[in-house]
Order: sequence, then structure tokens, then C-alpha cells
Amino acid sequence: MPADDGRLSNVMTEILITLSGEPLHGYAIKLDIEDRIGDGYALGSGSLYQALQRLERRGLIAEVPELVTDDARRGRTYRIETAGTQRLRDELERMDRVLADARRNDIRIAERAS
Amino acid sequence: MSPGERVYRTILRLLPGWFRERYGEQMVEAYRLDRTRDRFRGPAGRVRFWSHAVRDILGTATREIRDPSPVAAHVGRGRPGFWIVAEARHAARGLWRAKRFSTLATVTLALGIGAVTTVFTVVDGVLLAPLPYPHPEELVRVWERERDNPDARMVAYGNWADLRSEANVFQELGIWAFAAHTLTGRGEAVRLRSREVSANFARVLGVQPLLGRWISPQDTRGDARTAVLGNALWRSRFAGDPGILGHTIQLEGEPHTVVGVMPPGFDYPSGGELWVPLAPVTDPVGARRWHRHNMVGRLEPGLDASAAQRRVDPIARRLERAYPDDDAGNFFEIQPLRDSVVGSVRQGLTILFAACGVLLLIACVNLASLLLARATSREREFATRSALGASRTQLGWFLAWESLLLGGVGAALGLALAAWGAAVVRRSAAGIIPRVDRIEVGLPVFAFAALAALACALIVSLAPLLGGRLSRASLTLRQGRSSSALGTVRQRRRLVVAQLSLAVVLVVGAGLLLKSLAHLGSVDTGVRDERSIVTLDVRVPAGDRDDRAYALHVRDLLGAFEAEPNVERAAAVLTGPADPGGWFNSLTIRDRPVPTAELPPIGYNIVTPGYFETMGLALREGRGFEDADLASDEDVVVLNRTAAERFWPGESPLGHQILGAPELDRGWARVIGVVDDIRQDLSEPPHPEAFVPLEQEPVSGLVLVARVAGEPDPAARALERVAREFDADMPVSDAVTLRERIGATLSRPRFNTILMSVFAGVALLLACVGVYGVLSYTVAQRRREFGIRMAVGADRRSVLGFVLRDAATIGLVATLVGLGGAVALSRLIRGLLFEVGPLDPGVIGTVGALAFGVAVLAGVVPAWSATSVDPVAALREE
Repeated sequence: MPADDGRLSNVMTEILITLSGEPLHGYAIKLDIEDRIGDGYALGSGSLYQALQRLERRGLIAEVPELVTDDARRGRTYRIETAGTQRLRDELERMDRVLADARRNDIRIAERAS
Repeated sequence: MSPGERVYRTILRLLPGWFRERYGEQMVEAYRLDRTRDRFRGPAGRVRFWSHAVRDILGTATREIRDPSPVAAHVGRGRPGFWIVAEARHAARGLWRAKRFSTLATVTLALGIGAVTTVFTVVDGVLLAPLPYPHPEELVRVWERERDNPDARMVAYGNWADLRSEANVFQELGIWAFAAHTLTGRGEAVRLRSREVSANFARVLGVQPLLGRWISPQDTRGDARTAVLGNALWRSRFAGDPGILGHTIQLEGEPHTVVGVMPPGFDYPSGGELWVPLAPVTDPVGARRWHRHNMVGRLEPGLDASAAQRRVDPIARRLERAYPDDDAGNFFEIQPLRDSVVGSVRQGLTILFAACGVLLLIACVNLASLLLARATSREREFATRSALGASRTQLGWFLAWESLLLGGVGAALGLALAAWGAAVVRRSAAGIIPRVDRIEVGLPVFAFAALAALACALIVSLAPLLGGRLSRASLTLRQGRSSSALGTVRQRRRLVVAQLSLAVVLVVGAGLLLKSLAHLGSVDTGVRDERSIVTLDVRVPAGDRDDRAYALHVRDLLGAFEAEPNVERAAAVLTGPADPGGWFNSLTIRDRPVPTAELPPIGYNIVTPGYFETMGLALREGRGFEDADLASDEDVVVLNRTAAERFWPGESPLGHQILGAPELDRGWARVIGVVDDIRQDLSEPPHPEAFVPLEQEPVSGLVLVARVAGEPDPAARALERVAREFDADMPVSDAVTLRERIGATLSRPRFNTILMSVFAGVALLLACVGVYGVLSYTVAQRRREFGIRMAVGADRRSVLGFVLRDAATIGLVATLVGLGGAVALSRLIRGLLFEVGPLDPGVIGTVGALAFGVAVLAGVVPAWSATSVDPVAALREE
């Protein structure tokens, strides 16, 4: 297993946040993220599945094959792995530090670009 | 499926295949669910949805290209080897981006594969393809040989009967003889390549007539005049009319009944157009003594040529005892039929094939060198990938795929090139190499090209792996600058030296062949001013004239020739210069035994009196034929110089009597003169020859020769016209100058030489590109160094010299190694050379200078670009 030193994209972070609640399938993850961000934000399927694939490759999330969903076409259900929880925690801490730094230096925080 | 969904699925095609395979259905499902949501309702919602979806897919696809996510092992866990396919896609994208590199690489490969596949197509069709008869492995030629004589000879009719009766060797043993028949009464009279054959001949080969029947044993026994037509003849002269069976046609002025028509493609032996019954040789002495026939046999099943050989050897020994006069020292030789058909071209083709293999190797080396340079410039890419978790195996596969893809495209282009090359060979080699009509681009050729490409890909992809390139790659990321550029330069240098050396070997081969061809073309045939001699082949019908009247008839024709303006002298001869063949026999001298085994046979030639004068042959001794000789009852002969010196060393042959050839069936003939030699076979020294006047031995197949003044071409046309007007039933070939006739006999060496020269030229060009590539690369790598040198005062000339010295070193080493290789391989080509040693100093010197010059020349452009480095700019880089 290669060391995971790649950065997390915004979508990846959002997916990890969503999955830290409960295992979900792809479309449910998309809806959850869109709800959380609001403002008419739409997460494209391409970006979603690309991010899911990359997270899976890094071992941060995994498929839950035994969990049979009501509609097979909705596809696989994903759950967060221990490494993923750890990585999410690190990421949130990093964001905290960035925020703290910015506040200490009295820098106005620009609205996060999406 | 809604139109919208169809559009969405189409857009999805922008994504990599593995991505679609894995997520496509889920994305389509998400599309369906999205369309039901309020936010995407109405025209505005629809616009919002599609612009978003297009941006999403495009963004995802671009991210996949910019930052491809090779599907790591654990994603493809369910499907082993899945990532290998991902590497292929990755490699293809990379090659597409590096267009200049890919073009150079594929063109190089296509040239190499194209050349080797072209020759393979010829080898496959001519050498490897089985003969088109059932159980071709059972078919053999049977020759007779004499101990102490390296040349096989034709067989005597009587020996056929003895061999045939041996039950345990041959299923069938057929006999045949070359012949020529004139067909008249069907348009212009035409001379046909006919074959006199035994009745079992078709059974030997296992062929059936298309129409009617084959020649029957009754046909060969009596004087029944029957004929079997070849398919091409049947179509061209008889309009493919099946009703021809049972009808008579005029052959040699005699009616013959057509009994059969052969299927298309059957022309054995070598270009036969017509088959007629072979008359038995009834003369008991002639049956043992006259070697005029050929035997082809079908061995008992399971018997191979060497086993058959062991069984016929005792028969030969029995015949030796039974006929000591004729068969002493005689033995039979069994040769697989295919060897006899293609044996004459095997050596030439094998050498060409080897030359192409070398060419392909050079192309591989070029490719390896290109890839090596590319690998170096991409070390950072590899380092990044390996840092991101790509394993060594993955990167190895990536490189392998790159080579395989290049190889695939190169093979496809090479195949196209080979198809074209094969067509050119088929067109231009007809009549030069046997079975040329069997050359085709079929499955074996495809398989061969694929194998060649695969071999190239393997050779090429192994090179960087062996160089330890990958293990070092991981270091590079941190260093930021290529650590192993110098190592690569050394490696590429070695490759370039190797390929230039290989090219030198080929060029030496081509040079030797060229020189040898030039020698052959300028051989002194002994004829004075060959360009002024016009020749044409005729067959003068004897009609019911007796010998003397026939000879006068021929003289009338020659007289008609000489009546033409510009024709100085005309004569007729049985076998002219550049016309190997003739009647060979051992010489019998009256009152002086000649041990025949120790002396070469003598060729009997038949001439009209003006022949020596027409050809410009000087008399060495005695005199030529005179009218008084022809009227007298005493037979006379004139010998050539070689015959006089061989059989009467140190003395004069004049006045001695020799026996006319047994076939001529004459008594003793007195030697009246000796003339200068004429070469018949250009690559052989003149052989002993005895000239007999036409009056003593009338033959109807003659070569007419005429010495003309001024332009030979109009004279040639005039002579054709005169001959046709003289007798409409006389077949007349096109008239050509003797020079052209000699040129035609050189077609096979010319064919070999042209192909070899083309390959050598391409090889040298590829090697030149290789030298240029490595030097430009070196210069690019050392820009800083050159900048510094020039900044501290080096002038342009010293930088120029620096690079050129580099080129010269490569050229020198490669030339020496290549010449060494050529010397080591010289043995192989010796058989194709004529009057040129395989170590010819002129050729070796020229090629050495050429290769060295080419290497230096290839260095000029890189050297020039080195001098144009701007010191300041070079120092600022990085």
C-alpha cells in the first residue's frame, strides 16, 4: 500500500464527510453533498465517481458488496475505512489550522470557491 | 431510451473505457433521477442541467488525461490484469501527444518490417511453399553424375528403363526432354516451349488434364502424333474452345491430334506450354550414350531422398559393370524436386533475407535509441508516477505497451509496404526467379510481420529495462535534474556504433555485388563490337528439302538479310553467345586415346560459313569454311582456341581427325582451323567448342546474327520484316542486339544487386538518422557546457570541432567494426560474386570512406547548432 500523501480535493473531502455518517450508494452521496452545500450547488456524476474511485484506490473508502440495495442499478454502496476517518480528521485539522492562521493574521477569509 | 439519455450516453464516451465500464450505468441512472428533480425542470432547468453535465464530463475526462488514475491493483481486484489495459491506454495517449517521436519511430519500424516482410513474401512463395502437386514431398529429380565431374548431367534413355524396373524405390518414374515446336495455321507462326514426355509423367506429378486425356502409352510407342495443350496456350490460340479435342493442329508442319488440355497453372517442367509423346530411343548404343533426358519420380511412400539414394546406388554400380564404355564412373543423384525447382535462387534469396534481417535490426536499434532518449527526458514523469504508487511492473508494462503499440502500427505500415513490394517483385522478377506467381501476401506473411514486430517490440522494450533506468528513476524527483543523461548518451552511442557497423556490413555486400555485376556486364565475350550485332531466333521449316537444299535455303534467307542496306554480313548459328547450352559430348580423336574422365566435354556448335567473319573472330590457325569444303564429301570442323589448347597442348590440331558427336551420327571430321573464343556463359570461362557447318548437320532452330552499320534498331526492325516475308510459316522472335541479349542473361544477378543495394541504402540512411539523433541529443544535453566554454573564450571553430570529432570517432569505430564483420561474413556471399574477391580492397576502402563520411556528415547539423548556443541564455537555464 503506497503512502497516501496525495491531497484531498474538495469533492473528496465532502464525500468523506458524508460517508462518516453511514454507508451510502453513489446517488445518495451526491444528494447529501448537494443538500449540505446548498445554494443550488450540483455535483456532476463524473466528478463524483472519479472522486469515489480515487478515494477507493487510496484505501480511504471501500465498497460494501454484501449490502444489497433495493435498486441494483444504483450500484455499489460505499463506507468509510479507518484510514479514511483518520485522513478526514487530519484534513479537518488542517482546515482548522488554516482558518486559525488566517484569523491570527487578520486576513479576511475569501469565500471558498467551489 | 429517451433522446436525452441517448445524448448523455454519447457524452459519456468522452470518458476512458474502464471508467465507463465501472460507473457508466450508475451515471445514467443518476441522470434519470436528476431529470425528475424540480431544479432541472422547464427550459431553464434543462439548459442548466446540460451545461452542467457537459462541463462535468469534460472536466472529469480532462482530469483523467492530465492526471490519469491508473487503476491500481486493489481497484481491479475482481479482474486480474485490468491495470495492464489501463497502462495500454496510458501509453497510447502518450504516443499520440509525442507526434514527432512516434512518427519517426513508426516510419523506421515500417521500413525495417516492410523490407524483411517483402523478402519473406518472396521466400515464402518461392522457397517454402510446397509444390502444387499431391504429396509433393515424394517428388524427386533424378540426375546422372560422373565421378570427378562436379556438374550433374542429363540422363540416358536406357538408364530410365533400368531404374524404373526397381520396384522398391519409385511409385512412378517419368522421363522427359526439353523441346520446341512451331505451331502454324493459327495466326502468326509461333515457337512453343514444348516438352516430350513419357505416358506416366502426369501420374508421377499427380495431375489430371482439365479436358480430355493425358498422353497414353500407345502414343509414345508408335508414331501416333498427339498433343496436350497448356491452359494458357489453349486460351490464347484456341479461344478456350473445348471442341478442340480430337482436332488436328500443325506442329512442325505435321498434323497432331489434340487429346487433352491441362488445368491453369500447370507448366511443369519450367514454363512448358505443350506436351507431346516422347519417342523411345531404339538405338541400343544411343540409349546408353545420349544424355538428353530428364527424370522426375515419385518415391515410394515414406522414403526420403537419402534413403532412395542408398537404394539406387547399387543399380548404378550394376550398370557400370554392364556398360563399362558408357557408364563407368556414372552414378545417380536423387534430389527433392523442390530443390531442383528453386535451388538456383536459394542462395541469393537467403542472403537477401539475411540482409533484411540486419536492416530490421538496425531499425530496432534506432527505435531503442529513440526510446532511450525519450525515457531519459521522462524520468521525472516516471518518478512522479512511481511516487504515486505505480509499481516497477506497472511502469515496465507501460514501456512494453509503448513498444507494442509502435510495433503494431509499424507492422501495419510495413505490411502495406510489403504488399506493394511483393507486387513490384512479382512484376519485375517474372522469368528471373521460378514460381514468382506464387508470391502473395497471405496468412503466413501476416504472421511473419506480426512476429517481426513483436520481436522488435521485445528487443526495444528490454533495452531501457536492462539499463537500470527505472530503479534510478525514483531518485530523480528530488534531484530535479536528470542524473543519468550521461549514462544514456553512452548507451545510445554504443547503439549507434552497432547500427552503423551493421549498415557497413550490408553496404560492403551491396558494393561487392555491384562490382561483380559491373564485371559481368563488361566481360569480353570475344565478339567484336557487340552493339553492331543484331540477333533473332528463328526456326526454319525444312519442308521436304534434303540436307543440302535446306542449307541453301538458309543461305537464301541470309542473302536476303545481306541485301538490306546497312547489313554488312549475316550468318546462322545453333547456340550464340550469351546462350549457355548446346550439345556437349566427350571428344574422340582418331589414333589418339583421350582419357575422357580427365578432360572437359566439348560443345558442338553448328554454323554457316560467314559466322566467324560476322562475329569478328580472328583465325588463329588454318582457315575457315569454304564452299569447296561444303561440296566435298569429307567432313571438316573448326575448333575454338580453348579446344585446341586443351586437347592439343603445345601442338597444332590441324589435320587431326575427330569424331563428330555421336548425336550427329557422322564419321571422322578433319580439323581445318582454329578461331578465337567466344564466351557463351558470361560467368564461366570459354569452354572447348567445335564448329560444324550447317550443311553437315542441318538443324532448324537457329539464331540469325547480322553485323549492321549505323543504328542497330532500324536494322533490327528491317530484319524482322525480311524474315517474316521470307516465310510466313517461320516463327521469328523479336530482333535484339547482342548487347541486349547479354544484358538479359544478367537479370538475376541484377535483381539480387538492386534489392541488396536498396536495403543497404536504407540501412545506411537509418544509421545516419541514428548518428544524427544521438549527436543532437548530446548537444542538447550539453548546452550549458558549450555555453560556459564559449563564455570563457572558446571560439565557434573549437566547439564545431568538438562535436565533429565526436561524430568522427563514432564513424571510425563503426567502420572498423563493420568492416571486421564484413570480413568475417565474406564466406557467405562468395557464391554470388564474379571475378571479385569477398575482400575486394577497392570495395572495402570505398565503403569505409563512405561510412566514415556519412557519420561526419550526420554530425554537421548538430555541430552547427552547438556553435549557435547563446552563452548567457544557456547559463540562465534552470
